[in-house]
Amino acid sequence: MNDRVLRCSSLRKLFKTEAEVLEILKGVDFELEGGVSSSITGPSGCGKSTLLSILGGLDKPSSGSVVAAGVDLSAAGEEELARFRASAVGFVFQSHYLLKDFSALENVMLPAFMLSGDRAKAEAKARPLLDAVGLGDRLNHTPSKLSGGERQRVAIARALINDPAIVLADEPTGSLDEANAKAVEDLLFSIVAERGATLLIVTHDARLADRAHRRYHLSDGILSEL
Amino acid sequence: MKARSIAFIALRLLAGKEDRAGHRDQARKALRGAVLSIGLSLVPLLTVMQVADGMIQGISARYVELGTYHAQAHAYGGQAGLEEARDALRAAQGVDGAWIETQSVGVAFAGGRREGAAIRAVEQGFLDSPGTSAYLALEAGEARFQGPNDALVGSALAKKLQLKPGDSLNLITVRKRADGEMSPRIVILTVRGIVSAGYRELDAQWIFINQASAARLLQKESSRSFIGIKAGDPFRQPDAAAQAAEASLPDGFALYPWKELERNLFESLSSTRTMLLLIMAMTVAVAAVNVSSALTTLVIERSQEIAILKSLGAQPADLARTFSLGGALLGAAGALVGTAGGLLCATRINEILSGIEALANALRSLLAFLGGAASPERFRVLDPAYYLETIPITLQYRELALVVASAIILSFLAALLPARRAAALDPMEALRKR
Repeated sequence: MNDRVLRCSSLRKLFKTEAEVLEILKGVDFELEGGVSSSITGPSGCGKSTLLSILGGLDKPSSGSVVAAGVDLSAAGEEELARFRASAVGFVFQSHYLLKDFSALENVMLPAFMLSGDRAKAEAKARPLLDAVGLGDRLNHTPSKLSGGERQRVAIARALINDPAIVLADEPTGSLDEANAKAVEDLLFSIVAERGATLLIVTHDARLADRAHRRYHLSDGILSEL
Repeated sequence: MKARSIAFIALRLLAGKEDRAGHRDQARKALRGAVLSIGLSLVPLLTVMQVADGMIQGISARYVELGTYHAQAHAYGGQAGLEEARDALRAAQGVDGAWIETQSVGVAFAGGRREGAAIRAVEQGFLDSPGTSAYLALEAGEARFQGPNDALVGSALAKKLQLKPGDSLNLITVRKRADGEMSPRIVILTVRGIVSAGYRELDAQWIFINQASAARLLQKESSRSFIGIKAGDPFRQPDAAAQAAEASLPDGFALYPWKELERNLFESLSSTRTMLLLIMAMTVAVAAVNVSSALTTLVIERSQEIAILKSLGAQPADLARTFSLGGALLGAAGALVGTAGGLLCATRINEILSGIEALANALRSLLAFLGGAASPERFRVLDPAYYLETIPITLQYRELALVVASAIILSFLAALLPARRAAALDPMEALRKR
């Protein structure tokens, strides 16, 4: 186990509606160590995805602090957050969120291409990743020509292209049938472990959550380790 | 994000692959519409620009080469010393030619018909010079004065008077009598050739006679003589002739470059052209609004993909640049379409006008036939009385490049609003909408 790659303390998130102010996260304290996989379960709407987006630098907390891969996300500006997302974190969403006008290879190489501007190098990095997720023969297929499981595998490869320290997965198997879900979760755990990255999965699926080294439960805005 | 990545993403967002249903989405239709509207707005602009340039160039060249010369030298006091001055100018460095011309007006009679005429007593060398030969076509007879009363008649004037080579032409000029009263004087000329400048306004009035006969045929009191000078390219260097002549011209003469002599004509043509181009340019500006709305549709439709790009590390400025570049690319595509269409129309304008005329005349004749009326007069899109019979087209590549660059810049500017919208998009909000 390595040093901590992510630490959040007293994290609060408020959502203001016309009628009221909802406190989604009520002082979350949380740490992740390098190379460790963790899972967060909890009822729908409890704020799991919101927490994940704050940890990934896509959203800002209302108060509290988040330090991930050495970056203070709560204090970082837009540019620094973008750099963090590009190089330190990889996202795998429930809906694959692939770019429909790009082939599998282009979807995977894009984060590296955006970072370096060198398409050939980015593609050279993307090909073995697609091989590793079993899609070496589907490089030029657009998302619409891939099955649900294949799309999610492309998404996993894309999340890993820039060798992030942290991989955040939001219901990564939520839209897949049982067989595909099993294959995707096996791949996710194995490939992330191979690369020594820290994996944080948010899921409803208790069986998937159990595979993580550490399990957390989020309820009523409070995160507790199980 | 690096420029290459921005260009790659912009191109894919603008012209990506088909979606699952095999249909292009609304934004893509709007983008194609924007490209088309830029292209269509450029077609008339480029056509008018090239045609107007060709027309102005053609008319100006005819006036300058056939009428005004590149510059004129006028004696302050009478006509004394004209020949010496001409000879001095011919020997001057940079001067291609210098000829004495005497101009007067009169009334031409032939076969019971009469027309007003501008009488030009010119030297044979002027008629033979390359500049004159290039624009003054011989339609019948010969362009050479054989006898002392030989004349070359403009084609439109010859047509009105029904003249052909060998015919006699009575020319009435005004003579001042000893008692100071004006009286008509009739001179009989022989038509040696029919000539045409290809511009009705000139062809309908010119009668050329030999300069050697000017003193005998034209009255000194009602005519004026000067030296016409040609030197270099009068359009690239309008003052070249006057400058070349200046040092060699004896005292007592004043020099006038052609732009000064034809200022009104040139400014009138240029103003008309500028006005037309301004109106046409407004349509390009309106077309650029389509670029803005098409890109806004794209931003709205692709908000989730923009959010994904943000989640992958794209900065707001990167996305703004992506969509601004997208606007410029749309402008470039539109400019490509417009340039192709515009150049096609411009280079084929004479055929297009002939086609329109043929079609309109056929329809008019058919309607007249069906209505039992007499066949109507021939319809002309451009009245040759005011325009060249054939529009000369010389492509102005510098202006073309300027128009293309303007279309791209306008489209780029039009894209700034949607680009700003893309940059400001909240990725979480866009991803939640799924």
